[in-house]
Amino acid sequence: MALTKVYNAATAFKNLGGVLNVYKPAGMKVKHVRNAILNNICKGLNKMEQREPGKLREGRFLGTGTAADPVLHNIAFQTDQSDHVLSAGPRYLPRDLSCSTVSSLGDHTSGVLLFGINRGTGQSSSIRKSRPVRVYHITGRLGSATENHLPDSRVTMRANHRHVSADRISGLAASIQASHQRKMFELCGVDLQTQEAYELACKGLLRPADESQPVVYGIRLVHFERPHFTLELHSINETQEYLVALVHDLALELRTAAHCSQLRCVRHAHFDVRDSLLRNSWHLPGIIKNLRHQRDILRAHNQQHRVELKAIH
Amino acid sequence: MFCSAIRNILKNSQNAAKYGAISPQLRNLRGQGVAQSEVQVFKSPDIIAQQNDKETEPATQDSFKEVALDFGNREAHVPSFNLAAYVNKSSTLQQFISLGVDLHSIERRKGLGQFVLQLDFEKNVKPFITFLVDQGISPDDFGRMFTKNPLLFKEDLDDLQTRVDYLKSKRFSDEARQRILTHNPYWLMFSTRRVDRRLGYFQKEFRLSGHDLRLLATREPNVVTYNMEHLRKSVFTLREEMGFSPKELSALVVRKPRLMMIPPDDLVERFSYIHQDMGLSHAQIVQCPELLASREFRLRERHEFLKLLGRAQYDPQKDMYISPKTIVEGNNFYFVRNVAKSDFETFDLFLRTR
Amino acid sequence: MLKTRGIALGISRSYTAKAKRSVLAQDKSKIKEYSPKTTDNHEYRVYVWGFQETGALGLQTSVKKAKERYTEMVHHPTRLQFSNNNDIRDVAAGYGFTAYAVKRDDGETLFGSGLNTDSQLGFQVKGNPNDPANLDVIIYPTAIKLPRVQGETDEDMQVKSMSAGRAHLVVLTQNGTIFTLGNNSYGQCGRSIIEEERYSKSALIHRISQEDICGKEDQVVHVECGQDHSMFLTKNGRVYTCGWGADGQTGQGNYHTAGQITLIGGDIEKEKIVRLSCSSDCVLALNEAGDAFGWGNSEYGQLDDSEHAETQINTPRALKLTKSIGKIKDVAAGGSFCMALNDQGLVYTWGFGILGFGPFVEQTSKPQHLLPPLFGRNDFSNATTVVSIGCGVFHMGAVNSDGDLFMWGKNRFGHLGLGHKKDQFFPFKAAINGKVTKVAYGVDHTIALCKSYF
Repeated sequence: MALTKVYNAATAFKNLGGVLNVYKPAGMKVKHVRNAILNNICKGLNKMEQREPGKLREGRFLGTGTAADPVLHNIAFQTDQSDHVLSAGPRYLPRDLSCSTVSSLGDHTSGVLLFGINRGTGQSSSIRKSRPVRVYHITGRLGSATENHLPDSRVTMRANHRHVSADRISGLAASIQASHQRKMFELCGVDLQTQEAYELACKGLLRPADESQPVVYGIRLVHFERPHFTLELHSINETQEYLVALVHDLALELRTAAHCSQLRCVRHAHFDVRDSLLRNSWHLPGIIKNLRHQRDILRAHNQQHRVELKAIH
Repeated sequence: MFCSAIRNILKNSQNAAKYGAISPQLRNLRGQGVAQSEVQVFKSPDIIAQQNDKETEPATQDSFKEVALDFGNREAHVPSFNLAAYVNKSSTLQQFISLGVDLHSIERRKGLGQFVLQLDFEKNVKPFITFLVDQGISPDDFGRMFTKNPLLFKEDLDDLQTRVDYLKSKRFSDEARQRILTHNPYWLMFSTRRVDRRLGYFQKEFRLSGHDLRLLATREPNVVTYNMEHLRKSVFTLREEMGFSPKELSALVVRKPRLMMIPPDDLVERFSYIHQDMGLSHAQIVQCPELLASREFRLRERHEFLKLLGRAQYDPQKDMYISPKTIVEGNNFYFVRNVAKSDFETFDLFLRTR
Repeated sequence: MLKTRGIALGISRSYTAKAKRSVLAQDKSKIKEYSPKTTDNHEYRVYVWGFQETGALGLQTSVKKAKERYTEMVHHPTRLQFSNNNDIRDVAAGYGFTAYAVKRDDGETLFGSGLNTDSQLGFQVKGNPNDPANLDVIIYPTAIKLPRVQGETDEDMQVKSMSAGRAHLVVLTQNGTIFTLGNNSYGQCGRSIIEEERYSKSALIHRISQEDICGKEDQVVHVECGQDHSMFLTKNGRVYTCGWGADGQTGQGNYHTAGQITLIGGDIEKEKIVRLSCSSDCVLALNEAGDAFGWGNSEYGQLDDSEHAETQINTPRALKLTKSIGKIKDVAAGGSFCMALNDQGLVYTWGFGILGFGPFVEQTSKPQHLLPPLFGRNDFSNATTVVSIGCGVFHMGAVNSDGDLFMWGKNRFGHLGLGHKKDQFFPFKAAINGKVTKVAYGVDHTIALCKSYF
C-alpha cells in the first residue's frame, strides 16, 4: 500500500490504532509515559487541519437571505460560534483515545513498554493473555547494597568484591536458572507423581498456571566489568521488586553486596527494543509510524502466536 | 516589537547584528515541535477506490471530515456547564473569540465562566483594551493575556494606571514594561505596595543594583508575582544546600531568574548531577545557569553520551574543551551534530541502552 | 551535605529517579562494611541427604542433641559442617556409612561416619581408654587411622580411589597400597575367610600392596565395591576381583566365594577396561573404545534380554544390548537396572524399576534414552548435556554440564533430595547450592561433592 501525506486530523485519527512500542525511560512512571503519549497525540492532532465550525441554522434572524443581498446572506450563513475551537475546546482530548498497557514496568525500569491504542486495545489484551516472555538486561553494581536495592536509596552496607569473577557469576546464574525451571512444576499445578508431569517435563519449559508467581526461564551473564555486571534474564510474571531482590540475593550468594543500577526490558514477546519509540520522537508522526511498524511485526508473528497459545492449554 | 524587546534585554550579552546572523540556527534549535502538521498514513484500498469514483482530491478529503453535531437551538436561560452554549447569543463572547481568547480554558477555572459571561464588551472590556494599546501592547497578545487572567477586567482603570506609573517611576523602559505586561498578565493585579515590597525583597536578598533588578524583573516577570513561600524555599536551597556564595547567587538569579520558580527538589537533583557527576564547579555553573534550568534526564543523556565518546571534557585549560553551555543548547539533532560531533544513529542506539 | 564545597562523595551514583535528599545527605563514612568469610579456601563443599538414623550423613555433633531432636531422614540437600573445616577430596558411600578422603595438616587422610557394626570404619572407641565403649554408630566424621609402614609419608597415604560395599570399605592410596576394612565373610576384603571371625570391635585393617595383585609393571588405579565383593581396575585395563560370587558377580567363571584376588578374563581379556560400575550384584564395565561389558546378576534381563538367557552370568560378556547406542562414555549398574551415557550426552536406561520414563514404564528390555529436556536442556541453555551418571541400588542420578544434579527412582529414605519421600518417576533437579562434581550414591543416602560459586 502506498503511503500518503495526510493533513487532515480526522483521517489521521482514523489511522491511529494498534499496538505501540514505547521506550520507557528509567525513573518515569508508566502512568506518566501514558499521559505524555496521549497528550502528544492530541497536541499533534489539534495542530493539524481541523474541521471548520458548523453553520448556524437558517432563518434565525431574518429568514432565508437571498444571494443578492450580501448582508442578509452573511447573517444567514453565519458560522456557529459555539462550535469554534476557542469556545468548544480542542477537537481532540486525551480522554477521547482509549489506551491500555500490555503489562506494566516498574518506575526504574526502562525499555520496551507496549500500549494498545484505540482499536489496538483488543490486541494488547490478547498479547497479555498469551503471557509472553520478557527479556531484561539487568545491571548490578557490586560493592554496595541499598535499602530498596536500587540506586536511589540509602546505602546500607559496603563490601569487598575482589573475589567475584565472571565465571562464578555465570555459574550461579546457571544454578538459579535450573532451580527456577524446577519451580515451574510447582507452579503449573501438576502432581509430580503422574504421567502428565512426566510428559510436561519432556517438553521442557512450562508456563505458570496463573500470574501470581514470577518464573525465570533463562538467566546468564552477558557483561562483566568490575564493579558492574549485566545479566540477561528471560521471565514471566516478574516485577521490578522481584528482579532487584534477585540481584541482591545473587550478590549475597557471591559473598558480597550489590544493588541494581539499571533494569532494561529489551524484548517483550516479539517487540524488540530496537523498534521502540524513544522519548525524542514521542510526537504524532513518530507514533503513527511506530504503530504501522508494530502492525507489521504482529502480522508476521501472528501465526506463531496462535501456536504458542495452543501449547499452553 | 516583541523581538525588539528581547533584543534590548539581551543587549548586554549579544548585539543585535549577531543575533540576526544566528537566527536560522535558532530555528533549528527550537526543535521539531514546530512543524508537525502532517502525518504519513497508509492509504487503505477503499480510499483508493473512492478516489477512483470521485476524481477530485478535495472531495475525498471532505468525505473524511467530521460533521458537527447539531443539538438544535438552546434557550439562553437554560443552565449550562460551558460558555459555548451562550456564544451564539452573546456578542461579548463572540468578540472575545475574535480576539483569540480561549473560552474553553476560562470556563474550567472556578467562577471565571460566570464572571466572563456577565461582562459587557463596550462597557467592561473596551476601556481596558484601549488602555493596553496605550501601553504599547500588540493586539496579537490580547487573546493569550485575557485567557490567562480575565479578572483583569475587575480592576479599576485608575489603579492600573498607577501601577504602570509606578513601573515608569522605577525607570523601567517602554519595552521592558511591554514585556512585563504581556508575559505576566497578573502583574497588574498586584498593588503598587505589594510589587514594591517584592522588588525590595529581591533587591535586599541578592543585593542587586537597580539595573540588575530591572533586568531580573524584565527577564522573568512571573517571578515577581510568584508564590513567596516557594521563592524563599528555592533561595534557601540555592544558598544553603548548594552553597552558592552571595555574589554567585545574585549573578545566577539575574542570569536565570526562572531557577527560583523550579521546585527545589528538582533543583537539588540537577545540581547534584552537575556538580558531583559532571564535576563542574560552582563558578562554572554560575557561568552557565542554563544547566540548572535543563531537565535532569536531558543533562544525563547528553553528558553520558559525551562520556561514551570520550569527549566529556569541561576544563577550558585542556584540549578538546566542550563548553557546558553547549550541552543543553538546542535539540538532540543539533547537539549530536555540532557538540558531540557524532551521528544520530549512534545517539539513538545509545539512548536505547539506558 | 552539599553545602561544603569540594567534598566529593565516596560513591557517585546513577540515579534513575529524583534524588532524595535523605540519600544525598547520607553520611557515607558510617556505612557498615560487610566482610563475609570468603577465605573458604577449600575447593569442595559437601552436601548430604537421605537416611539420618545410621549416622551416615555425619550432620549431628552430639548424641544428646540428636536424641532431643530426632530426625529420621534429611529430605533436602544439607551442607556438611565437616566439609567447612576440612579439605575433602573424595567421598564414598556404603550401605549406611560414608567415607571421606581428606587432605589435612595432621596427616589424617581418611574419615568416616555411619554404621560401624563390622568395623568398616576402623576401630572406633570412646571414653576411658582402659575400658573403652565401642561405637556401632558414628554420628560425626571420625578419623580412620591407616596403619603405616616405615617411611610412608602423609603424601603417600592420600586416597587415590575408594569404594564401599554393604559392610566393607576398600581404599587405594597414592603409593599403591590397598587397605580393606570391615566384613570379610565372603572374602571381600581380599584375605582368606576365617570362620566365626568377629568383625565388631575389630582393629584389623588389611593391607595389600598393588604388586601382590597385578605385579610390578601394572598399577591399580581404581577400586569398586559391589554389595559383598570388590574389584580392582589397573592402568592397563585389567580387572581383578574377590568376594561373594553367588550370582557370578566376581566374574571368575564360577559361583564360589573367593578370598583370593584373581584376574578375570572372558570377553574383557583383550580389552582395556577404563571404568567399572556396580552397586549390588550386577557389574558393568566399559572399555576404551566405548563398548560395554557385563557380568553378575541378570534376573531382569539387564545384561542379556534373549529368550533363554541365563539369569546369572559368571564370566564377563560383551553386551549386545548396548550396541545400538553408539560410543558409550559412562555406565552405571543398579540393583535391577543399568544405565549408560553415550557421547551425544544421551542417557539410556534399561532393566526393571523406575527408569525415568514416567510412572507407567516399569521395565524395558532394550535401552531407551531419556529426553534431553529432562536434564535441563531448553531454548535458554541449548548446549547443556549430561556429563556423568551414577546410581544406587534403587535410584539413579545424572549430572549435567552446568553442574546440576538430577535424580529419580525410589525415594523411601528421602535420598533423592526432593523434599519428600515420594518416588520420583522422571529426572528432577536436586536443589544444591554449588556445581556438583561428584556424587556418591548410597543405598539410603546420597553425598554430593560440589564446587561453590564464590
